[in-house]
Amino acid sequence: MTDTVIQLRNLHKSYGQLHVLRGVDLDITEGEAFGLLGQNGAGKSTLIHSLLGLLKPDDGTIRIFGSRDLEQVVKNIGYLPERTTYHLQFTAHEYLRMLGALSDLRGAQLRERIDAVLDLVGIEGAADRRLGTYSKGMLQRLGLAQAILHDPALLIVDEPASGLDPGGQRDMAQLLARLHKAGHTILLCTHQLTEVTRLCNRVGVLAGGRLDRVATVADLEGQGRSMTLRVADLPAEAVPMLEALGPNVRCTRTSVVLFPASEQLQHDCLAILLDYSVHILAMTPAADALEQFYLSAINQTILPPTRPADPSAPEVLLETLVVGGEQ
Amino acid sequence: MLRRITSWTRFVLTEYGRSGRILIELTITIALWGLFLQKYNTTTAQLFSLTGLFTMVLALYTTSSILGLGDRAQNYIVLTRPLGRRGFLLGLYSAAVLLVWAMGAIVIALTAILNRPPGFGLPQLWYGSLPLLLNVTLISAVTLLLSSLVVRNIPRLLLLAILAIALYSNTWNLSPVFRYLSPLQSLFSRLIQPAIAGQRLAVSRDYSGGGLFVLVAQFALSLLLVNLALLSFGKRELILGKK
Repeated sequence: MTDTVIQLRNLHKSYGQLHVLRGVDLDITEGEAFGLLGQNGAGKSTLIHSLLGLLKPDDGTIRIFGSRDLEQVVKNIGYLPERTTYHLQFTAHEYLRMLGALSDLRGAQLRERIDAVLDLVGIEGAADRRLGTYSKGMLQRLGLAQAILHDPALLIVDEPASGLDPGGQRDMAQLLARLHKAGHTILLCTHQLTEVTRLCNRVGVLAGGRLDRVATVADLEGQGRSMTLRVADLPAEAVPMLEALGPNVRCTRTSVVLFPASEQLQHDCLAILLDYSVHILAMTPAADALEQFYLSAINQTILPPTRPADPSAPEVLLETLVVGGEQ
Repeated sequence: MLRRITSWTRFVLTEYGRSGRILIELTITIALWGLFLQKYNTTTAQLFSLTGLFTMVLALYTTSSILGLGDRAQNYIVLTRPLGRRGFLLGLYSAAVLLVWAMGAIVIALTAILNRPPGFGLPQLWYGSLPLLLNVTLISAVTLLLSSLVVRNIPRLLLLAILAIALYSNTWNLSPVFRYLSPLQSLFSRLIQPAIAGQRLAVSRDYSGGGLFVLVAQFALSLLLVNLALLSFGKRELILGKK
């Protein structure tokens, strides 16, 4: 496949006894923005460092732009590391000039690229200030500037919003969205689920050393949100009425869970509960589909699409979900 | 590739200068000249003997110090560019060698200008400096190969043991255990012969007894050590420090 930018097959990596990656398979195609999610310590950075040749996998194959020889393709990769530290004695101009020279940019071409990327990330006014005087947000913008300086086809971005305030996070997401729109393939490694929703076409959760759970963001968004209705005491005769609304309704004695919770389903459900004079204690929207997808993948919670065998399960699961969502 | 390495070397030297670390080298250099080469009537042999020992010690210090700059998380960005691992390490090594050469040149220049030894001229400068310059490349290459950035701990300990045995002198008689190591000692000590011979050559400046061979041996050993370091660095996992 010529348009596969990143191809991982059965990637394994251990640190001594700690088996971090246990057979990771992944394909990222040209122009795609892929969100790599996972808990702290799940192995996201190990995966990225393996891709970049900084770490040596124990087993498996890595192909980038179809090549197993990273040196051949490294010119086409831009990398923004997590918690980047910089050579603080230099100005942004000096720093980018050096990095550009390392990517074989010279003379007028280099100057033009530096001006263009500084303008794009919005720090052109501070280009001649030493990096030691930069704020965290400015440094993160500079990190993105250096990553795109040589106009790489593939951008590997590790926690771009790390340490940024909400405004900075939004700006960073907008910058990445512009780059994606301009045709860059992006591998985004993040904890920020909203970032993934805004930017990515597909998302995968690295859990237990594997990347088994991969889905398109469009599919996840199509699943909608879930809703739980806490009730004082659900009469037994109301249960068949509610469950007749569809497989998306799960009942226990003290709750009714709707997943996904469409407006029509909520309306019909409330109508039945009011018909039976059920005392509704609370209506709580649960996590969105991406969050549920993420949480289910890391085994903190599972909200299966099919009805669970244990009738009390949804309530238990939903509570876990809500607790997980608050963290 | 050469242009990339040159850019990286220039960057490392600039950072070394701006960070103020270079003041240590400059202070030691000026102090050495002031204490030993400024006051007395120095001969050319004394000048090269002292400068040779000084640059060898300085090569150890400066190379370690510059490799410390390499072992920092900010260099992930540098390493993931077309410069690559080889270019990265060669840039650090070149920066260290150039800096020590510059300090050696300062000592020789100050002495030549302000306290010129009798009979010191361009031929003397050339014949004396060449083995000293090569000794700096050799000592820096040894330091490179022994650094934690380049080799993992166990191979490093092994290399240090080889070096210790090579440097051990039978006249020290520190322990009877060393008697059993004498075959290894005679083998490993050959590795340090080019450096010793280079120092002698700088002092004597007499190339009639195989001086060129000494230069070739210094150069070849430096090349071998640097290539071993590149090989090791190319194969190892890179988990850089968080400094």
